[in-house]
Amino acid sequence: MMMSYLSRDSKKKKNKLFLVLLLAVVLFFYSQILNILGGVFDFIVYPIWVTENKIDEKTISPLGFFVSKKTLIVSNEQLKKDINEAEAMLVGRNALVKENLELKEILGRVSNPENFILASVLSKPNSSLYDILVVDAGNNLNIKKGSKVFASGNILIGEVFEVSEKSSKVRLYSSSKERVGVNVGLFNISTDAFGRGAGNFEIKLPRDTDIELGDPITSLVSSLQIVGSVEEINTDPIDSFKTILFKSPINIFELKWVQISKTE
Amino acid sequence: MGTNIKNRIILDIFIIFSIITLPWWFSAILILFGIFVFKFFYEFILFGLLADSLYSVPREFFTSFQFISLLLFLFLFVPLDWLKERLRI
Repeated sequence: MMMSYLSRDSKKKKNKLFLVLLLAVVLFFYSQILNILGGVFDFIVYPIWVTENKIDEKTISPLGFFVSKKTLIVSNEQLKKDINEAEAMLVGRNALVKENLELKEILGRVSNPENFILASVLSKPNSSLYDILVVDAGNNLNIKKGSKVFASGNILIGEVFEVSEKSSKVRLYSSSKERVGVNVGLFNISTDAFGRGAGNFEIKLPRDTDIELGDPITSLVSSLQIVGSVEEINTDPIDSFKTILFKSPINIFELKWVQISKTE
Repeated sequence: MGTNIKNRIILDIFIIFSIITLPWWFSAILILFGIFVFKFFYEFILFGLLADSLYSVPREFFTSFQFISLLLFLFLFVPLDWLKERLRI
């Protein structure tokens, strides 16, 4: 009995040693292993993602069966009201965009609207710890590392970080501790916005800066590239800075399509 | 023994499927289950490799480490394996 105890104990130690050695080897050659396996996994996983998207498009969420009729009616009425308000705002916004483009044309600085590639989202931020998107456009569509990624046409959400043959990884600006340069408010105050995860951002500005709720926050490159709008302003009497909180206008967990800029 | 291996393979397939299509915490729960139920559940290394090869980017939040999934699964494996020994499961 003693002997079998000893041999069981030594077998456990051998297994643990094997695990430690295996981990050491894997961690030592991790980048090389990831590079080799990345292509293989992409090849196998890409069709699964595409199939999953197709199934998502064609099926109704099963949770819908458990929602009461009254809740659905109330939700429907609210959504109709929101759509009417959004359409009214859109008319004003379209007029402003048209005026903006006409002014740029006068100044000789027109951007080409054909400079975007449409890509579908294969994997959403909650699939991994890294808070990224995986999209179905890669080297096959001449996607470049660093290209800006937009949702709904002009809402800037991130940039391409890694490009494979058929897919790309998009690093979201709203990921925790990520940083993006923005212009805040009607006076275009330039500063950095820091991601807080799940589409949320934070900006710190001097306390006496003239910012109000609802002020637009746009990218440094163009005032047409929206990042969000001011939702909350927190001030503390003993702090010389105020904290501005805002979130991306789109829900990144429900994104199905993005537009990738062809220029960096 | 044969049933055990069959169940283990089925669980492995489920975990791979969950890494590809489901939220990360779901895969973590399945791996926890695998570590608890099966002996020497070293497949977690492969699952970490799979998750990192599919999703890893250097992020400031993780001080640019790109093997966060593997580290997470290792942090699940080590204490649970230790606990199993103490509980003699």
